[in-house]
Amino acid sequence: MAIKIAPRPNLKFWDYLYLPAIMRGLLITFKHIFRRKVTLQFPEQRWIFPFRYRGYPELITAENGIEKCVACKLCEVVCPPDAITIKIGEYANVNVRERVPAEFEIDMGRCIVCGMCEEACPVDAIRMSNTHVMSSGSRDSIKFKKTLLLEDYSQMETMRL
Amino acid sequence: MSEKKKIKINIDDRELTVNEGDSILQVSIDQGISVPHFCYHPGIGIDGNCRLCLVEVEGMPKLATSCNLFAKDGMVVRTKSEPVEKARNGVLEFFLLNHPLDCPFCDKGGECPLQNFTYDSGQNTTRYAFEKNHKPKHEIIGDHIILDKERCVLCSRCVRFGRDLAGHEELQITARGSKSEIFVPEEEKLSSKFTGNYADICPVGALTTREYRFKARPWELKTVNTLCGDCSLGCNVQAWKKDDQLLRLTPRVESEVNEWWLCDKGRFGIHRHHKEALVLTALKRTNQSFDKVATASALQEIIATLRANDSWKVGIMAHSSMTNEDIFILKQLANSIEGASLFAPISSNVHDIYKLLKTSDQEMNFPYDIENASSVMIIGESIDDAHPVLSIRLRRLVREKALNLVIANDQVSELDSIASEVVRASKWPSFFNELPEFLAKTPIQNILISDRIVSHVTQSDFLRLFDIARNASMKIGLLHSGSNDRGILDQWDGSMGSSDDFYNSAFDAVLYFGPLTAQAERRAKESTFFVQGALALSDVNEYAQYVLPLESSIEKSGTYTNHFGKVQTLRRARKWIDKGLRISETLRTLLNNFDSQGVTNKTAYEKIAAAQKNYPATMDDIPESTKTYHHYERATWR
Ligand code: SF4
Ligand code: SF4
Ligand code: SF4
Ligand code: SF4
Ligand code: FES
Repeated sequence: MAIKIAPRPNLKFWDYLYLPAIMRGLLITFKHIFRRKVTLQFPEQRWIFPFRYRGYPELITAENGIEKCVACKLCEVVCPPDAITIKIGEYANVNVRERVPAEFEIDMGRCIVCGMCEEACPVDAIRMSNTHVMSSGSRDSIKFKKTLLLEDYSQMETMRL
Repeated sequence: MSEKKKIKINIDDRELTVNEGDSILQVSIDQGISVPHFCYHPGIGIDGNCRLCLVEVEGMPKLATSCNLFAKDGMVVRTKSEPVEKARNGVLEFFLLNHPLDCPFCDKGGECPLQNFTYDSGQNTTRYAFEKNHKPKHEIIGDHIILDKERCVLCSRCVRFGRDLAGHEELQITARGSKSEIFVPEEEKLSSKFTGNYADICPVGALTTREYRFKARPWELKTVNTLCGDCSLGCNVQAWKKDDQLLRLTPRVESEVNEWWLCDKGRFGIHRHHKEALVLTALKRTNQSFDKVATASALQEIIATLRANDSWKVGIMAHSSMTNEDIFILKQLANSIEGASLFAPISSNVHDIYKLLKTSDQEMNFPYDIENASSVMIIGESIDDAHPVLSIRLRRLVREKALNLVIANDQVSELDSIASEVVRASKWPSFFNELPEFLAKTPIQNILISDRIVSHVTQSDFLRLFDIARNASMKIGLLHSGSNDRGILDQWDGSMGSSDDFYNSAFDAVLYFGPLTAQAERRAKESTFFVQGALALSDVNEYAQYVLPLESSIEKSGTYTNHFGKVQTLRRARKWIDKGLRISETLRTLLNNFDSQGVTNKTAYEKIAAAQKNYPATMDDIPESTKTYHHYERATWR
């Protein structure tokens, strides 16, 4: 393999002082003081993500009020970090629905927000929500259970501790 | 039987030598060439209604259904050519016209032939623009089976299995065209003893079991190859586990034992026991109640008591669910404890007959003697109740080979309806007196005798029967009631006693495995020290000083010998009892305390096998079928 020797920059006296470069940098900073602000006071202030933003996964409720999920376990098996745990349950009225998840848990600490679960789901019961925040003081509190996954947790006020 | 002519055929450019007249589909299955099919099943036979198994044959103008295409010399068959793929795709499209999109919550999903075939040869869109037919989706049609009429592909496997092999025409197809559906005529309930097989043979999720319903998906499960321990036939099963939960048993295909089938008693037996009702730890009696104690300390105390009283007469009673290795270790234990003797849970009469049979040349070579026979006589057994899976074979033989079935029994059994002659024997001694006369009139090639009636008959009766058998080159098989009775009998030598001997002697200490009979209870009550091995808490006797857990066959590993002398491997599929507490380990600990030998299951088996003619030399040599019918092949993509 050929070795390439990078030429050393030929610095003059003014360059060695660094002062012109610092001044140039400060000029850029000062210019921004008079422009429109883009930073938010997180977590008090939240950015409303565009509708198609793909954050952490959530479950969807069908029109009849039951969760859409039929506990097929495809998302569980496809999930690369094994974040999903499902227990199958039977729905009380077989004429409405035969099968629902008795328990559905996503360990958000493990989820890598890859979206594979959404893609695998044959009944569109799981989708990526607008949430990207998942900070917490304990690992257990970010193991989201079925009831929470069915709610809109994207605008949760406080972080879960 | 005449040997079939060997011929050469060519399937997918493979030169094969097969018997003339073999079904091309069966040959392909045997060779691992996948040809989609629904209605054909090697155990149920050819029907030719699904039209999915089409293949191309050189020289034939149209495609042919391979299941009822029979091999002829020089036949050239193609199973993957373009016209075949096109036709298959078309047939599958028709199957899917009215098939619901249930895969996500269908119990068959993941091991479903329709899914697999569609994945391989079907198309992923539908051209059907109309509303699908709707049918009832949730009909509980039996104690174990749920029917979903929408999913049925009308292959009629279930109909033919019920009619031809289970002896109950309990499922039928009604109506015409796309309105056709399965229905249950008999009082809306399945009543045969083999309903679990419907879920196995159904190529879709139309018939599924209630026990396995919504328990798991196939890719989550692990399997263990083991045996059913419910009767002495020893059907080969696959136990399916999720984590440590045992969810279902399905048959392994073993032509010498259970073919493709299992009975409901064995298949759903795993759901019979509840963990809370079983003895899972050692128990010690203090005053009137039992306390759970650590095994080690219980064993220590038992050993100490036996050691301290070496003048005691100790009676050890084995249990017929024990493996060959357990019995071997028990024998060693009895040898090493001063004054101890081992007893088998088998009467001396049965033992005598068994010895007579074993030394004669008349012992049945199952299943070949029965398969090639024209007549079988069953004496004293309701095969349907005692060894149900054997009755499937008998039904098949009666149907296929016009076997003459003669039944002599004091009870009515379901097999009576297909028997060519039924003798209602009410008094066994007088029946055996008349038997020679009967056999002179009716030529019989095989006799199956139940051990249930042996105690009613004298040895001279049997000697006479054996004489007749020798002259008429008749084969005799003895059917046992305990699952490993044959294994115990094989190891029975001068050092062991019969159950009669046990009941007729008094002991200072008794080690009894299993639920106590009335006579045994007397023995136990009289003894000073009584240790019981029990499976269920309800089996525990109030007199027991210590109770050790006796595991069910699904928790055991080792070998069983079935009643026709076939040695088969048992593997532990459920782990409710802790390691170190299982009976074989407990016995080994006991034994090592008296005489440290360090036996393991493997070495024990080798020693047993060395003394037996027809036992494979080591455990690894025991032949085992790993074949299952294609429904339980899982997707292997992960
Ligand atoms: S987004 Fe990816 S990592 Fe997260 S639960 Fe779904 S499949 Fe698993
Ligand atoms: S893939 Fe969809 S239907 Fe299946 S378990 Fe996951 S969320 Fe439920
Ligand atoms: S029978 Fe097979 S194809 Fe039909 S819904 Fe069930 S898994 Fe899917
Ligand atoms: S229920 Fe199953 S086995 Fe019976 S006809 Fe329908 S698809 Fe075939
Ligand atoms: S398997 Fe040949 S027609 Fe069904």
